[in-house]
Amino acid sequence: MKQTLTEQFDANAAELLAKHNLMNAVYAVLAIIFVGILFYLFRLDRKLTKIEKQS
Amino acid sequence: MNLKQHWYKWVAAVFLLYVVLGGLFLPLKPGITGLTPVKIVSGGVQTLKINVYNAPWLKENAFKDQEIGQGKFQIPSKVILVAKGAPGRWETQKIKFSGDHGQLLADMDFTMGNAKVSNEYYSVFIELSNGKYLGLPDAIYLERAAGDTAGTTAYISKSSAHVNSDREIFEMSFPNRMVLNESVRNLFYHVPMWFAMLALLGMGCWYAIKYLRFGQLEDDLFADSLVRVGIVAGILGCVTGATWARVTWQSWWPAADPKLNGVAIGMTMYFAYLLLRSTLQDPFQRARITAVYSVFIFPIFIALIVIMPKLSPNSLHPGSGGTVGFNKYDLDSTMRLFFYPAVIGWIALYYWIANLRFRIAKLKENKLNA
Repeated sequence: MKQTLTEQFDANAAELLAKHNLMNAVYAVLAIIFVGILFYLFRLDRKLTKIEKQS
Repeated sequence: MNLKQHWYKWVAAVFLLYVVLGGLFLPLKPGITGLTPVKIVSGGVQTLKINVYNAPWLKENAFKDQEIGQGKFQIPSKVILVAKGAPGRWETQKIKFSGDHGQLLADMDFTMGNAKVSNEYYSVFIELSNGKYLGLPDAIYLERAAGDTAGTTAYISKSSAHVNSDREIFEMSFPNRMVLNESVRNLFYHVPMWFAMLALLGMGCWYAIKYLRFGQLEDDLFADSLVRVGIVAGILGCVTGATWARVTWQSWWPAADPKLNGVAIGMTMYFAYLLLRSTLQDPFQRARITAVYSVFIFPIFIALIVIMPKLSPNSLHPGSGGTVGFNKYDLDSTMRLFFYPAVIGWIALYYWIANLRFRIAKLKENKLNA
């Protein structure tokens, strides 16, 4: 029996959602915050090093 | 370490650990995510396919447990269709389970016969063995077939029992919403960025006033650090928001949203603050002018990102412009249990970073003067 594309999708919809839930968005958001804050801390660190070198 | 002086650092560490772990590992409530077909013409038995996310009956031993009568797990016992305008309901107990991912096949007899049933949008409910319900509002449209006007009827015309999908008992799980799905957890990471930004800019405004009142350069330096770290929080809020919007609103930056427009203008005002500050050399002149500017733009910023979206006729953001806030989804307050600590924790963390930046700036100032 040949299924149309919609029927195929329909049959797999539950499976698709189980796999492609939006958990990745949560990981991405957490990673962005982590990287962003670390980036700012590294900049602060560099600023401090510069001041230390001046003396 | 002196606890009195460092308390907010511990608050940041403990609260954020709790929020990140809890926010990632607590499960989502089960919920109906879709239904086919979406339109049915009455007459005869038809099969509804209902997709359920995090279905409780997929857990190991769910059915065995049911036979023993422990009822620890919930399995579906009925599928019910109810409409707001209709006096009765359609229901069936002929339920089959399909696949490993929580799909239900419900055979339902839609013979209207001589029952007085109007064409309606129906909400779908799955009754679970412990008396609770999973629901999806206005999911299916039922229309009377031309020939289906006389004879027997499968419609239960007596008023249905009150179908209530609220859960009274306390469960540690997050609400399951159609579009949001698992990304509802971003409430603990994206939203507190803005709370932290507002808190830091507000404190920056306070220290700017303090500088104008007492003329201490230290107050100006601290105000500047608060504003700069507040801007970092705001940028992270923008980027995380864009990521979240991409998967739920299908656009990185839906320009029709009044909150996004407000933020775009507001952030530009604060970028102008950075520009203004970098052009002035004399520390006292710099402090005075930027303090006045900071005091001037903070209320405008509040108006742009808090007040204007609430007044606007429509918005994608929850809780503004006629949309429902997250507090309406959070029936058992599990989200509040993480959201409030998240706000406090993120504010404490950014305040800590602002404090570090202030101390570095002070060191630099002392070096220049020496």
